[in-house]
Amino acid sequence: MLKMFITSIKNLFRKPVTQLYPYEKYEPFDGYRGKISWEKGKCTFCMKCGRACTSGAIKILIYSGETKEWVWNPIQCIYCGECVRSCPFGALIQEKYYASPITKGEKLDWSEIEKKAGRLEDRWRRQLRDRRGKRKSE
Amino acid sequence: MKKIKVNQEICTTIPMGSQHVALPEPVKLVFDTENEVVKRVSFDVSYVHRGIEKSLTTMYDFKKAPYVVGRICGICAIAHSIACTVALERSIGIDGEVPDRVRAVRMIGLELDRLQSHFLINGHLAEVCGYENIFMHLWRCREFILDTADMLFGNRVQYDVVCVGGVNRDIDEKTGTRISEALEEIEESIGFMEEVFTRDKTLVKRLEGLGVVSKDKAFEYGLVGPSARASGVKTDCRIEDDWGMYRDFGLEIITMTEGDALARCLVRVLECFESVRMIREALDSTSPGEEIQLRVRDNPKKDAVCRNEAPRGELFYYIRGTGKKIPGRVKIRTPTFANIPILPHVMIGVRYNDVPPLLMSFDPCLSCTGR
Amino acid sequence: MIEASLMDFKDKIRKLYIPEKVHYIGVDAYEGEEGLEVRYWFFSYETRDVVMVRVSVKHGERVPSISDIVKPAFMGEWEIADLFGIEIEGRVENFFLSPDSPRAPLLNKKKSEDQAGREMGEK
Repeated sequence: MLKMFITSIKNLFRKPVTQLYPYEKYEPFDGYRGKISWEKGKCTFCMKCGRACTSGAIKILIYSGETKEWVWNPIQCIYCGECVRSCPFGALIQEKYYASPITKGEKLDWSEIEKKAGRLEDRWRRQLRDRRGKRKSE
Repeated sequence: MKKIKVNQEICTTIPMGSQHVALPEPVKLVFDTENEVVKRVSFDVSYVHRGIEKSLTTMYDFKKAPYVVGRICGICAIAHSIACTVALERSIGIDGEVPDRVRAVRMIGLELDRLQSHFLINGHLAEVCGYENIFMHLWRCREFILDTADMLFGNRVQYDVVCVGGVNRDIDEKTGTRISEALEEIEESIGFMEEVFTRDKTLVKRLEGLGVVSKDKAFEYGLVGPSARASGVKTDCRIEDDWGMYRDFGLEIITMTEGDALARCLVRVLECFESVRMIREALDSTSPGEEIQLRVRDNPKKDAVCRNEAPRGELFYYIRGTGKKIPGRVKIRTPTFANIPILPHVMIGVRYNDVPPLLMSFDPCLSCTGR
Repeated sequence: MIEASLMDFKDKIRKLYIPEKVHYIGVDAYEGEEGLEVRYWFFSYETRDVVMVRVSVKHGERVPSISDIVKPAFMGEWEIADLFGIEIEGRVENFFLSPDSPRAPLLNKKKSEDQAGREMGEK
């Protein structure tokens, strides 16, 4: 009991273990699971990351013509890093810093994006099936 | 509060939960008390069912399963991931090929998880007893463990490090030495915790002789984990179903014979020492740079089970492989599920103000139970 | 693995289950192509083996409770009663699911109330 008393007195004067966040910047350890960043030049839009993603937070949109876009939903992401490991070209990098909070204007209309990407995925699957069918018939 | 008649006696019904200061998670316990002494208990766990078993058989393929089951519980996440992964590997048939480095990293993760969970529950128990000072101090010590986990796996609690056929990230040498330093500090704080739970009058008097479970009762009700070991049941799934290298390292099963709330606490404290030893052994056993991930080509095709020792006790996974990407059935039996049936029997005859510490000494995790 | 029918599975479990030597793990149900089955899981401390007792059950059939032999079994039984809609003696309604949730969610229903959930999965 006495020891507990001494410890609590000591604790009064010790430095706090936690950080005073807004005044003191938090420096994460190396290898912290932060936001995913995408490098456009390296990406070939192979969709491997989208299929590896556990929470379905990565979609690829193809607009008319050849403009393609990689979309990532930071709210749905569970930051497991599976997409980064699945990428064969190193186009995805998991950064040390976490994603900044999202304001109202930046929020993605995810259900709309999912619908669009779903149509594209269907088309892509159909093409794949056709190709396989051709190969078999040959 | 309403008064009802039970066996011709006037009883007061006191509901506890689904939200209560002593409960970290929602469960509803209804006590019929007579002059503060509990006469009858009924409980309801229907608050947190999320259908994870269903989603594993409809939505996610087996490679995503370890991440999904990690979300069942916030505290013993890696225990779930490991149990699921080992069961899947057995189902695929590659469990014999898993490299030693992978086993070591998984062991380090699980033991770190056990450390922080035991600190958490012992601190919480002290708080429920009204000893907030120890609660604060133990959680302060827990902060170091969480920092160590952050350094190792990139997250504080939700490690997400296990995947089918291996682990995601290796522990390099620099981090290894830093962990060894951190472990010394952690060991010191475990020593402090042991001293508190053996010598502090306030806690010992409150917890001694509370909710005694005899050895026969523990066998009869199939208790698991520290609660069973406190009653003298020599059971530990790490030895019985060894997916790691626990048998090689000579893990010691800590048992006590008293079976009261204090014994359950002390078993957890002494297990922390064992965990630290296991982490040291695992760090020394293999060196970084070995292969950490196998290529998985097959789908799960056999029926497989895994029993894993989560911080709270035996965690049971059953996977029915159908040869497809998505397993046919995933059954999860969580440790708290086995520890709840005895609660009504232990609580009868206990004063109502002793109920929260008694409940917390069993270390219930209701999110696990609900799934 | 022990195969049993509804008539004799209690006897088989009574013969198997000795509290000091056999640990009761849990009870589980599974709906395959052959129909519904209830599985009881035990662990033997001596041989370190997991033993399964398999009982095939038809839909709507009443399953007797084993909680007179294995005391903690009632919780698992109530759970599968809620999740699979199996009639088990002495069950408590809505023990595991909240009252407004869909009934028997783990059964493979063909395009019925859990259609919405499955469509989400396909996305």
